Amino acid sequence: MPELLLFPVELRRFFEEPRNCVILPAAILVPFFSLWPYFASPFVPALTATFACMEPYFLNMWYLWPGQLESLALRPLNWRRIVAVKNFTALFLTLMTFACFAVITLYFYDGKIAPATIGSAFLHCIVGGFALALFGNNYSVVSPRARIGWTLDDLAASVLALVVAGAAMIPVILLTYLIGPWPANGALIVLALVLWAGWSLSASATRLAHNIPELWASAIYS
Amino acid sequence: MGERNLLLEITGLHKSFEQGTPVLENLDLTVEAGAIYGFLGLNGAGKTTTIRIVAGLLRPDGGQIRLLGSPWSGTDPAIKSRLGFVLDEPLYFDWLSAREYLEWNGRMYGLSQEVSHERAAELLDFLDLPGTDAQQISTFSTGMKKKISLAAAIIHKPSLVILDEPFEGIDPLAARDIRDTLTLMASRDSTILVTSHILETIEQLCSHVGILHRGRMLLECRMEEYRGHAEQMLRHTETRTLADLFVGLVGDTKRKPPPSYV
Repeated sequence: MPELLLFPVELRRFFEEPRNCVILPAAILVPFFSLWPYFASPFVPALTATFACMEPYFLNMWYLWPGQLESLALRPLNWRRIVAVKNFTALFLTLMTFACFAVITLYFYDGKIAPATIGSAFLHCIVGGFALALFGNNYSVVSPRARIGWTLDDLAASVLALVVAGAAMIPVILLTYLIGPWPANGALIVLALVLWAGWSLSASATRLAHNIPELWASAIYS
Repeated sequence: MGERNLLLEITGLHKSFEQGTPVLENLDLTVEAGAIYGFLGLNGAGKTTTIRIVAGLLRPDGGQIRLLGSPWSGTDPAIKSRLGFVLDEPLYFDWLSAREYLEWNGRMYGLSQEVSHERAAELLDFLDLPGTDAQQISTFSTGMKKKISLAAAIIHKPSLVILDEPFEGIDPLAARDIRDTLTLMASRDSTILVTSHILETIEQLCSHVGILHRGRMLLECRMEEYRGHAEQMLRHTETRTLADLFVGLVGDTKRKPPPSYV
């Protein structure tokens, strides 16, 4: 499957993309904000920074560099597989980025953090990531930016990503209160979410793959 | 006369953009297998739009396209694997090195890693880019980038190669080598469609020519036939070269005066 070759290319691009420099100042700010007592968890700043930084990988997934979609469109590739590879790459990079922020938080946090809190934070990261992937598969085609950077549009997209990820976490928070604390509920919720999101992601990818040649042509060139 | 083996057949193609101005109006174009087709026109004539429609990057408003003997909607991967493109906009991944990009591109077209590696090395050597194979494409000059685009378009030995201004920014020696390569490819079952404003090159290189003006095909013929057509179409002017014919067909009869301050 040649589509899999997109994974190493996107990983490499992640480290070459100038916009991803925002991860460095975010990594400095995250431990300071984690000390704020009004957050429900010390990982809230890490989650916020992760989704804000990783926004283009979900909401502008076809233009991570200029001309990416056109370049892919010229090649004999299967759109469904491309969408799947891009979603997987985005989720993988999101978890890696969150892991970095989480390690920094753990190192600098003034107090003990229970393993259940860490597990719960990763659970929320997965939930937010899946929700963003589902939302971004359509949004990135309907409202593409020709390039990513530090413009107001990019800022607005980061805020939108936080709203989407945050909204997706509400049912998880409610379920946690209903079912009980981590880890009793964790495995069940993760399993249910992964199954649900995996199915939805597959359906979303199929729908998008079917529509993408029409959608992007009208979005970009009309 | 036997039936022609048409590799690309465009019939009645229409395209307008949002402003409503038609870019292509009832365009007919036919490219025979094994031909090197020179697709000529002034800036804005509709050449790039036609190429983008054939590439599947634009939807036509009307008309039909048959490619490699099948109706073409711009999406079939089996047909795409037999096409190669150099577009007006660079579409390479310029943070990769030339070798990495060519190898990756070859593998995206289904070549094995070994074949992709060998062909990339050979192409870099042929295009006089051997010392630059580890250098990021973003550091290359315009001409070098054009060479990389060309190499990427032909690495999988496509049946149809479509080149939009491949000689733009290319030095004369490289242009000569590219011409020779295209001629060789055409003699070995590939078909080439090329646009260029360098009419001397088109006249030397191409077996067929099509002249597009304001979205319509004014003339389409074999290269050796154009003087005959010119006699019929431009009785009042002498046509010695393709450039004479082109200017006679699409140029203004009166030259414009230069800007007054000059």
